[in-house]
Amino acid sequence: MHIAEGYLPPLHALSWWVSSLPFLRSGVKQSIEICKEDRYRKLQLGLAAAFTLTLTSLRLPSVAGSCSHPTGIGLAIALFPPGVMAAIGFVVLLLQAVLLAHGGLTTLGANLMSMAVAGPWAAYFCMKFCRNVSVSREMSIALSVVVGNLVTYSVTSFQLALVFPDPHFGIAGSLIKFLGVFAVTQIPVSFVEAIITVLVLRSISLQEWKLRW
Amino acid sequence: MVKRSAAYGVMLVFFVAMWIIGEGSRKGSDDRAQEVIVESNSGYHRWFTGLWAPGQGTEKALFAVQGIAGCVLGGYCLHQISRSRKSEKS
Repeated sequence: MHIAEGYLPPLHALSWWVSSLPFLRSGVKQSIEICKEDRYRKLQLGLAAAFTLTLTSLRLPSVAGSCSHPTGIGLAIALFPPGVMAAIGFVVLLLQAVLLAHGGLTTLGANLMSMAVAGPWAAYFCMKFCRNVSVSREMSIALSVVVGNLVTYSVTSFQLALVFPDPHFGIAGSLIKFLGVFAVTQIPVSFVEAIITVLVLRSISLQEWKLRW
Repeated sequence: MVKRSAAYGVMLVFFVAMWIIGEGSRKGSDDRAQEVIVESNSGYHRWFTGLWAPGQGTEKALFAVQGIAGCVLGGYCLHQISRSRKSEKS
């Protein structure tokens, strides 16, 4: 989902930056409050950030000879309000843009909006819905990770489709084209991420943690 | 225990299957999206490029460093949590 440096025109890049800033501000504020809560919560936040850092470094192979990055949102949304992911995502995306030249500073706002805002919020609503209809906690987390991944890549496709509309079919045609690129790859990757997230949550004694769900 | 082992087994099989299916000209979905942009907008030029671009080998190494950094940080947090819990119990 990393839109590379310079691929979004200045106006689009700026718009995504501006629209993602309130989420980032709120995420930073929430993260600071969590750190002040107690030592456990602070360490849990560190663990969620580490999980995102590790998973986004992986390039998982997928079908049709392609590969893609997981988003690593699972642990953060299981432990904290979805807004926190904006702060974690910002740190990870900034590191990747500056040190790895993956993504970019001009496209950071757009990437932040897809991976650290839209994806986690979609996952949050999915988890809320699943819990309301009495789906088990682990299954809810797994499903929300899948939904979060797919929404992340759908938003990226939409961001690119707005800039590069299809000459014949416009934005809708372009959106389908980009979704064809991302979705085919991301569906299996999102399932793998869901399994990894649930296994990690199990291995860290799920019952002892203050899970939100 | 059996359930957990089965889950790990399923994950391993899934990973191996994906590696086999994906073997060959495996490309990142980000790169594929860039190809789509270039194909359908031949006149488009990036208005800004990063200050540096690592080679393919360097990029892989940097991603590995990122992954290791994440594992170290995660391990540290887990260790601290279990240490605090033990000291609380005793």
